Amino acid sequence: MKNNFTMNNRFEDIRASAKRSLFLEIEKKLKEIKENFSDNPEGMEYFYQKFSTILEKTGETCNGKPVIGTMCIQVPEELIYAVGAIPVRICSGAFSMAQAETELLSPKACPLIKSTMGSLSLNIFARGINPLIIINPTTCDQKKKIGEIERTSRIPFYTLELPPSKDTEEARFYWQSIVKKLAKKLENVTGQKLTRKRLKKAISIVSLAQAQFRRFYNIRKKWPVILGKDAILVSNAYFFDDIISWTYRLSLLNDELDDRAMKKQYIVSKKAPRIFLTGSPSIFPNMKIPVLIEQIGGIVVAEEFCSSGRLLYDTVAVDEWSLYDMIPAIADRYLKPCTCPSFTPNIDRERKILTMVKDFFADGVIYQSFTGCQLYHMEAKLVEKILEKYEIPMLYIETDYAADNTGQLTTRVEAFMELLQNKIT
Amino acid sequence: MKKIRTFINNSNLSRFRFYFQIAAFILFIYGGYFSITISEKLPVFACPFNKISGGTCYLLPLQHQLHITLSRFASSRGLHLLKGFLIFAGLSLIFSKGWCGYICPLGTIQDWITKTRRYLHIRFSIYDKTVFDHLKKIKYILLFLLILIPIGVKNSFVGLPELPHDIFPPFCKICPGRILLPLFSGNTSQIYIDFSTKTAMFITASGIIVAGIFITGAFVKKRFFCLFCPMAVLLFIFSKVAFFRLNKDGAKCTRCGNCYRVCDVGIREIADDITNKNMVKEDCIMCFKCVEACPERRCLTVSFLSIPLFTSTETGFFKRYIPEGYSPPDNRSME
Amino acid sequence: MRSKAIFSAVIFFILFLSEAPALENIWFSATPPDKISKKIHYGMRGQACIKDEDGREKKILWIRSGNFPVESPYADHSSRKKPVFFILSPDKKLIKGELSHGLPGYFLTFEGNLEGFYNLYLIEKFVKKEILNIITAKAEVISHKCSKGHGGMKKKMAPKILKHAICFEILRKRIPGEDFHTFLSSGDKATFKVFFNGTPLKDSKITFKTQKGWSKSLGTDINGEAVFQIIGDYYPDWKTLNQKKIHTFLITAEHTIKKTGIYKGIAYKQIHYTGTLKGCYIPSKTLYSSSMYGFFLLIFIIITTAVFIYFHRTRRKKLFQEYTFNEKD
Repeated sequence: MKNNFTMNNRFEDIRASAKRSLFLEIEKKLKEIKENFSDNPEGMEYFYQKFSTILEKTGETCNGKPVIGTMCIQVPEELIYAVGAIPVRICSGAFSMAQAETELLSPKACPLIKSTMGSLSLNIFARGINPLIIINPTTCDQKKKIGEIERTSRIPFYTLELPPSKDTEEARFYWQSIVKKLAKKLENVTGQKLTRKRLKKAISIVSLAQAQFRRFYNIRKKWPVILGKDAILVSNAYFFDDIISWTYRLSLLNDELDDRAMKKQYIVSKKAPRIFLTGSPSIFPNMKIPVLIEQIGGIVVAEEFCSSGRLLYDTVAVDEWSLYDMIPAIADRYLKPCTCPSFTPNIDRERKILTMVKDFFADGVIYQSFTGCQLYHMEAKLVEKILEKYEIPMLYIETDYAADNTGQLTTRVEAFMELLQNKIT
Repeated sequence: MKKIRTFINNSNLSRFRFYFQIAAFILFIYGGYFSITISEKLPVFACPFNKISGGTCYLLPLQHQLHITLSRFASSRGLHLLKGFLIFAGLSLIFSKGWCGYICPLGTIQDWITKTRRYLHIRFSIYDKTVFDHLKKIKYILLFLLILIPIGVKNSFVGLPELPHDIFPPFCKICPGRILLPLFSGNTSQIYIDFSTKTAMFITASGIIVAGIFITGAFVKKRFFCLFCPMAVLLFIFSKVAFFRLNKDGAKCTRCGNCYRVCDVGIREIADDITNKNMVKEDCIMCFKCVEACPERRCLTVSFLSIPLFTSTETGFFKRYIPEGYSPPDNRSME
Repeated sequence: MRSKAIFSAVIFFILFLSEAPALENIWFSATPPDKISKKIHYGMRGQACIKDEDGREKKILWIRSGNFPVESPYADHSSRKKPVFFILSPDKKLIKGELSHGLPGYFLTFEGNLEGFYNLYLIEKFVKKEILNIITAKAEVISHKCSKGHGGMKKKMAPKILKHAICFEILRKRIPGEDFHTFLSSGDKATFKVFFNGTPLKDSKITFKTQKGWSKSLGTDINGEAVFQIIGDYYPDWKTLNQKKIHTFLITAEHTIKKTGIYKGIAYKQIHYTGTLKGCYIPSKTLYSSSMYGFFLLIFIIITTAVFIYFHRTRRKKLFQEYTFNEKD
């Protein structure tokens, strides 16, 4: 449905000003991340560079290949690579984008949704991409609805029907048929046929990225050699970066961190409180909580976010290398281990949080949820109960992208960290 | 020591299994040429109808030993039955279901048929779980009949006449091993229909039909016959206390379901069960594809007398499942 | 062949008429004169067994005299001169046996529990018309218990001869791959070898006689062997067919040498050796079973199930819009 608004000059003005404020926001945030901390690993330079040039339209990402926008983490990327396209996740963390779209959404709506809708309607994306379609999985109710709202339907939306439960065999087979339908749609949209060889190569590429990610994950378990703000930045770069160069750069970063660990060159003292983050995802430039924690002196050892800790954790196990088994293998990987709270029951998430807290030797958990996010808010109670049983302190924070309540937040986090310090000593 | 452990954990167990199965097949089908007889009470289908077999499947001596009058159970024949059972129990205790996955010639034939199907890129059959949950009970019925019919041939129960001798030995007459295994030594004498009596005609024709269904079933479903095998019941009983174990550490499991999706016989509990330790279920053939597919460190472990032999690791998983190849980096900081 | 049979029958008949004590061959039979006796039960190959006073199980063979299995009477102990007998166990040792009479007939019992073949020999010697007749009756009795295992078949099955005591002996050569459960059946070719003083004898007359009276004579070749194809002569009604019906065959061989000597005070100028060997066979499997039918049934089932599965998959594609992918690159 064509939008008359695009012809209007006013639209161009708004777009230009939004772009400018986004640029400023990114600059400011990057500066905060780089300069307020000393001894950033050298491998991070590449990632800082990537983010500072995020709005520039460069040829490298696209390489003449079509781009397919995705949201959430349930969209099978291997299929997109196999049809010769590039997946770019358009979930946005920019406050300036959220501001631009307050008319169509209630002020109580999730800031991530507002921000994403803003970038969609203003056509401001990372790397200046122009997606062919946007694949929108039916996870939370707000995500489901944004595809229908008039403004945003400039780029065609494709609804990926996710089952509401992930444990049953019915859900599994249903999801497999949905993924097969998606594969057919992708073939149509890009005009490229899905073949065995291409899909095998795509699975390889993504699996190699997963292998490096797991290595990164394991390094953070034992030694505090990298701060959470950098780790989240690395994972967020995956959304839009070329996967092969991302994997390569991550492997270099891993080598450097290995070296640091050998030399015991820790980035915080060993006595610094180790915090575990979970809840609504922190996406750059919304790094409020991690940066705050680390400025106070703690270290975020792990996050259970769908934008960083959960992003590339699960693996694809293919039994027979033919399309009839590769596609269901990919489908299974994106459904069964996923701990998104849009599934019910979500016992796996509680188990995962517990396991991660134990594996990362975390001292305390900070649970962040965005205002207007019912799912994470409701799960917070369950997680709190479980953590209480194991005597792990938890702090619940409800926040959004605005920077105005930093003062109050700082006080609360400081108090929590003191509590943890007392517990440690 | 650690290097050996890493080497084993990163290795491609499926390929090792392929060669091991060939070796076991040659041993048990052609062993007679080298005058090798491993045992007459084997827990695998090494069919004695194949004249140069390297051993005998336990079910045939079992049926022969049960083919006695009830009074003789208390005599030396009863002792022979007990002795045979103890030898079988001993062999089962050592490898438990490992006999099924690595040694059984019928299992090897099914795996070869599956390989042929894979090569032709023909899809395997997908079934609703409930269908096989009911059909699996057939193996208990077969075991029950296998024990009862030989006794019924020699004795009369509650005044009923003795069963005709043509039905003896009942399981051997319908076993696909009797028809297919001698073919590998050029012996086609077991493919026949005996027209002398109605019973003989029925039972030999059933045997041929079962062999035909075995071949087609194995083509479309991985390890089709193993769901109906009475030997699996006997081995399952001993698997609880056997030396060879497959254990799971439920705390480490992320319930990703990789193990379930690669399982040939489709055991769901290996993925969903996070409380029990012993993961050898009644259908399990201990092929350890699940251990190969698990990406969590030390979640699934194969052990022999509490010595861990093969365990799931991350690097092992990526080495096996990235088709373009993966060289694990030197994680100097780890361990 | 026919004429030879008649010829030999006539000769023996004449000899029978001419002399009171029987000059017919003696041979061992595993079945008793009447099957009603309750003490006897039957083991492998229809071999009769009996439990003696101590409770030990003994194998029992009757002595019959005559030339054809079907018409030979059971020997009467009084009419036979005291013969000499030997029993050779599977581990090549001579063991004891008992030659007695009573429960009908004149029989030889022995205890044999080792795995393999026991060779029984009964030798009668007498002089008649200046010819010393030595008649050797032989039987190979099988002893096997499945529980004792089926290994080392070749060694256990190997035929043996008793060189130092028996001058004239016949043995049946084993079929390659023969084991305890192999049973000669109609249509099989059986090879027999004749030994004289431990060496194979050529040009000896060897005759094969079946239960119903058919016979064939051949001369042994340079290796002392002769091959007979066992005929099929059992064609009952389908309803009364018994696939395990055991028939007996009898092999007789003869040899004469010129030698003078004195035996028990009577002089002789020639020695005439006769040997007998009994064996059994069952009806051929081709009488009641068919491999062709079996093979075609197998192929039929495979093709039917494959076709069924193929159509089921095609139907699933059309009806439920199942997504399939072309595997071509």
